[in-house]
Amino acid sequence: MIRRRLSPPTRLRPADAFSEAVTSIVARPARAVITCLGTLLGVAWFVIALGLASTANGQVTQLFARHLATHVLISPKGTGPVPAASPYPADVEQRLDALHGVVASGVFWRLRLGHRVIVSTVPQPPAGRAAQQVPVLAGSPGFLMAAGARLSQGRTIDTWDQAHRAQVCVIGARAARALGIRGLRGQPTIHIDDQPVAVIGIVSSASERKAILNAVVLPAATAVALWGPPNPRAGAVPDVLIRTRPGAASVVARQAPVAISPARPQHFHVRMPPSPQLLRDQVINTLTRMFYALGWISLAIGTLSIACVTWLSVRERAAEFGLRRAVGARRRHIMAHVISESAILGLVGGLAGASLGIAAIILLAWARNWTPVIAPLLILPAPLAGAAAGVLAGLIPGLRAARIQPAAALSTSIAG
Amino acid sequence: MATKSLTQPVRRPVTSPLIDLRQAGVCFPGQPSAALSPLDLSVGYGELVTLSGPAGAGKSILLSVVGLLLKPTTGSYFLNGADTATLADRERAALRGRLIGIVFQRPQLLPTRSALDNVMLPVLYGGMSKQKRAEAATSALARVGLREHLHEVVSELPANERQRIAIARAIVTDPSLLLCDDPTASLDDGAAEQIIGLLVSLHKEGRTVLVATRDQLAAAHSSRLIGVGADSRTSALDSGL
Repeated sequence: MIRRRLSPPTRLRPADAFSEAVTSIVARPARAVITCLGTLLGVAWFVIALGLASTANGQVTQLFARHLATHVLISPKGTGPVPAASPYPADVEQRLDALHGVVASGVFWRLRLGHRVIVSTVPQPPAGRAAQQVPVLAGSPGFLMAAGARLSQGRTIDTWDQAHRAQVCVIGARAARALGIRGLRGQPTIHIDDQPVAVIGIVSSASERKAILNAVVLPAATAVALWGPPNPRAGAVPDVLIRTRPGAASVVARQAPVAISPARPQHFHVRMPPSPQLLRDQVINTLTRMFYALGWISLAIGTLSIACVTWLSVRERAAEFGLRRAVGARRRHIMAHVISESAILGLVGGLAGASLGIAAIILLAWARNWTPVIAPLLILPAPLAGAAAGVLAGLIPGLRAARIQPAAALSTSIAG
Repeated sequence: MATKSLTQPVRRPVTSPLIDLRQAGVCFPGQPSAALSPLDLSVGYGELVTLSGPAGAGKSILLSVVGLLLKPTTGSYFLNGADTATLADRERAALRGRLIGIVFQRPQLLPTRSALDNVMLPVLYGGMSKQKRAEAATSALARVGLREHLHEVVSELPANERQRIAIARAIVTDPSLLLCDDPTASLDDGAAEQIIGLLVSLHKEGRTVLVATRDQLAAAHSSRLIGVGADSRTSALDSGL
């Protein structure tokens, strides 16, 4: 009796599969380049899209940071009994400046005396000369800094002026033009409600209180000394303007009333410009989603491109795979061969594509004067994404190659 | 109890034939006539059998069936005593890789590879180390007289040498059964004589050789000449040579 013993199956060692795939690729460089090109472009755009997403996020954050609330305005609440002198303690500036995130703060009010305040370059001006409407503001030394005022000439009001109730003022550039003051040479003096005040500085810009450009600002203590404390009944309500670091406004807004009056913080109105945080987040989310979608689409196109070229390659090489089957290769060996080839080409394309993508992001950012932001965890696996795309793209052509019938395939010659 | 492996080289005749076709035929779907008319064929161990017949008679199809490249659509085929219909794909692949060597009508070489690479292809699937594969391939190439051309790219070699490389590839696994499909078809007389001489010497080493050919020289060296064609629908013509 003859007992049949099954023959040991043929096998292909992984190192040999890799080596065969590399040899097959090298043997046909033109086709390898075409196959790589699809992955290269797919992965390059994938990396560019991801890099642009993070770069654009950084850029949008920077843009929005410029418009983040950096100012808080505090006013006394209600129209109750008139405060004795001021609703704020004398050291309000020191209290607020001690808060983390506060850059400068100051009390200010518009001078209202119950009659028209006349500002003129001459005492008791004739009716025609006083036609210019120049508002007068009283402000503590920190007010101009809190308002973001920049001077083109002279100096700002300081603590000495405040302490000595000096009859000095700074004047907005437009108000100066209206009053015919062209510079500080000659030590110009203006008359406010017939009180002489020396002009010590001209404000050229005030980022947060543009009204200052049309106004005259004099020390708060001087205003009190000359005309008494602000009269709410006449409409002169002292406010506190606080300038904060970007992003600190909301915290300062919560803390400031307590710092001013720990006993009755609820007696103050706190106002700040709406924060663009939500809008920024929405813009970033939309951008990120759009770029990611583009990235995935490009990777999918790259995968499809390898799949198409590999499919055509399998058709063209049917006789070769038929021969391999005829000399002992199993279906899985043929499939491993095809997938190894497409995976290697995907990896090479991925490496080249990732490099190209990073270079493109850097060039683009350089051209736009942006800061390139590339997340290593997203970019570094890009070559592996190329290899994965290669494996995926090789699946169907690999299945087809494995199904090749050797007898039929060998009816034609092996293609070069 | 005798135990033998399907893939063990068998040199000496034993009781059961190596190849045993019983009314085996091939009919492709959609084709009106059979590609291979059902035939009985029994080839013993160590025989040199020539298959003859006109072009299109089915000689190549018959060799494909015997070489396990094609399954018969009718009848049955026993190889080395085993019914091939019961074999799984991996077993058929193993038999093709270890027991059978095939020389095709066209050399079917990988044109951009060297002679050595081409001959190493069957042993690639044997799980051998690269060094052993190279040794086996070098030995096979030496056997066909091409030791000097190991590293030459095959597309640059003449037809005669390409066919000898194909024979080296077929014998690199030291198969028991060598199938040759008209190996001298594209060669001149001198080259054909060399190839036939080579096949005869391989037969003399103990291999069972089946040659489909119209070459009279091959037929002259055969132990049997079998006709395949439209007239031999039920059985192969055994000339008894």
